[in-house]
Parts: sequence; C-alpha cells; structure tokens
Amino acid sequence: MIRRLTERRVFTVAECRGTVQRMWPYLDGALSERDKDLVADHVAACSLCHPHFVFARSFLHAVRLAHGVAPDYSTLQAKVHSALVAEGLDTAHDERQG
Amino acid sequence: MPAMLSETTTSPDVRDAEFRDTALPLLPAVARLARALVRQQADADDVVQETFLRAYRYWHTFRPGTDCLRWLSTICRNVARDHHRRGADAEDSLDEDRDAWSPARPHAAARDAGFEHMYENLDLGPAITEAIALLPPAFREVVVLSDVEGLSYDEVALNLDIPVGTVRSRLYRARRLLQESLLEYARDAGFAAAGGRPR
Repeated sequence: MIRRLTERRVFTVAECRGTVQRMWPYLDGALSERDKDLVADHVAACSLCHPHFVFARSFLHAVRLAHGVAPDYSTLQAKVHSALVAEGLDTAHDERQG
Repeated sequence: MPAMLSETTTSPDVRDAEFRDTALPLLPAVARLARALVRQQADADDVVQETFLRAYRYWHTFRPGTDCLRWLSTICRNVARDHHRRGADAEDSLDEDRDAWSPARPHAAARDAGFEHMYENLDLGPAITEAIALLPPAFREVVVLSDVEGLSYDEVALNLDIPVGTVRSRLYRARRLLQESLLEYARDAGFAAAGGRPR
C-alpha cells in the first residue's frame, strides 16, 4: 500500500499538504482510484511525507493487533437467551432442534 | 427472513420463531456496537441484554422487509443513552479539525521525542486498549467500529446514525488523541527513546 521511497522528488508545500490531508482516507481505502494513485505516487517520491504515512500505518496496525482476538459471544448469548426466556420467549423450537 | 414477515402475524409461536430467526442471529453485531458505545465490557453486555429484551417486547413494531440490524442498532443506541447519562462529553469539541497538517503532527512529535519506531519496537497492546477506553464516547465508538471492527466509513455512519463527514472528523480526531496518549505512555513508562527498548 505504501511503496518504498525510491525516486526522490521535490514537491511544493501545497502538494505535501494536500497529500497529508488525505492520509487517513488513503490508509482506510476510502479514496477514489485516481486520488489513491496520486497519493501513492507522491508518498513514494517524497521524503517528507513518506515517514508520516509509515508511522500512521504502524499505528493502525498496532491498534488492530491489540484487539486481534475475535470475541467469544457464547456467554453473552446464553445470558441474553435466559433473559428472553424469562420474558416469555418460546424455547420449544430450540428444544426440538437440540 | 425479514422480508417474509407479516405484520398481521399474531400467534406467539410464530412471533417467537420470527424473532429467534431474524433478531437473535444479529447479537454479535449488536454486541460490537454496544462495546463501542459503552466503556466497560460488563455494561456493554447489559446494554445488549436490554436491547434484545426491548426488541422482543416491541417485535410487533418491526416492519417486515426493513433492515433488522438497523432497527436493533437504534434500540441499542437508546439503551446505551439511558444506561449512562453522559453529561457533557466530547460533543463540544467535535468540530472538524481544519488544520491541514494535523494527521502528520503525532508523527512529528514522536520523531522529535525519539519514538519514531514506537509501534514496531514497543508492546503497546494494553496501553492501546486502555487509551481507547478512556476516549470520550463519541470518539471511542467510531474508533472501535472503524479501527477495531474494520467497518467502512459508510458502515460506521449507518451503525451510529450520523453523517459520513462526522465519522471522518471524529475518527481522525480520535486517532490523534490516541497517538498523543500513547506517546505520553511511552515516555512515562520509562522506555528509552533510542531504539524504543525498556530501560
């Protein structure tokens, strides 16, 4: 998603600012194909913007890793089911299925 | 199959079967929303339970053919609102961040402090969980749904019943707050800046 910094070019402040503004939508996959390509090309060639993007990507990765384990809802499902039965939910269907 | 439900259905057996088949399978999705809306896990579980109890009581008001998850999400948001009156939270500071360089500032701060590689070199998992839990509710819910659950901007907007533009502005502000908090944690925890290793 973020290419290596290869061909280094000098950009205007306005170009860098516009790219940084689109950093999160880019990393979230929320840009149009055209904008995505523009940002990717800029970042691959800009020694100022490239580290901003790498840092932001590392941050998002760390957040996802911190919550990587899929939650187990079985206890909650049993709790909700019991409450619904107490409320009057018919369980005959479950018993027939079981 | 919601599309086949009939509002004229009155038999309790049929009604219960419809509820079991349509609403109950959506419990994990509702639980994820509750987790985003309420800080403590136990409170989130209570919100889920109350959501399904209310849904069961008012199942006759569910309109067949409409989106059941959206209907449950509305109930869940109302329950969460009732669960804890938040008082003044982050809403006052939710204006869109108009600083064009804002997304780059956390990196600049980390680089200046010698923590440019903190996310690669430090185990920040517990700190991230804690930092998310401490976010103002309006920020926490978008971060959990987007960055933890992986929902798109449109999906988050649908879940929370807010405009996509609001999702974006809250999410970007929330990420900035999280990054600031994590940098502070890294400093306070005594990690050596060079290499990001514990002293």
